[in-house]
Amino acid sequence: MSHVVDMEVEITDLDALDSACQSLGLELVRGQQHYKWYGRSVGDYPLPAGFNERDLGKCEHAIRIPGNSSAYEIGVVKSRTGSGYKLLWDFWNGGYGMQAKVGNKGEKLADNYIAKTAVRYWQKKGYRVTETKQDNGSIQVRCKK
Amino acid sequence: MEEIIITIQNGKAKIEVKGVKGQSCKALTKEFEEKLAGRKISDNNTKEFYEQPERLHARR
Repeated sequence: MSHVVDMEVEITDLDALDSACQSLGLELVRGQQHYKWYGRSVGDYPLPAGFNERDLGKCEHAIRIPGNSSAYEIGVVKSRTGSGYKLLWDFWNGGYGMQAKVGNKGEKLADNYIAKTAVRYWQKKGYRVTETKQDNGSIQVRCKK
Repeated sequence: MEEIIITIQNGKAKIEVKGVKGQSCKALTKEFEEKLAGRKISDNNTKEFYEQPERLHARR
């Protein structure tokens, strides 16, 4: 069975994505052109917008769990609607471990990516930047000048 | 002191700007918001937004 969806966040900074992956114990493999998933679409779940069955499993880069060859991987795929990348993944059966790493809908990865993007951006602008995890699970990035 | 506070949860970001008077706070974060590619959820104007920025007077 396969349930391939996109995580909604649009990636425009691969270095920030790399840093976010490391924060979650994941590895961004640049240039890996296939990501691990069930292998065929069984039609029980709508395909991500702009993608057809032939597109599944192919990517420009991939995210994997180091040391876990059973886990499904996340495909970093050129967006069909924007100028960045989308994240596609098969969350069937928790992606055999991937869902625990990135959140039910990939929200942990999305949050960390946004935070790293913010840290990199405002540091380059000359701000002193701190990143902290709040009690309610949110991430706060404070930038002072 | 100028401060930008970004709070991130469930894949979305709230951006607050402090210490910047007038509408220039919008220009300050515009490029960053574009990098987020639509993940901003709120953009509330604080009291400072409606204050006049300080004007520098030339020395004679």
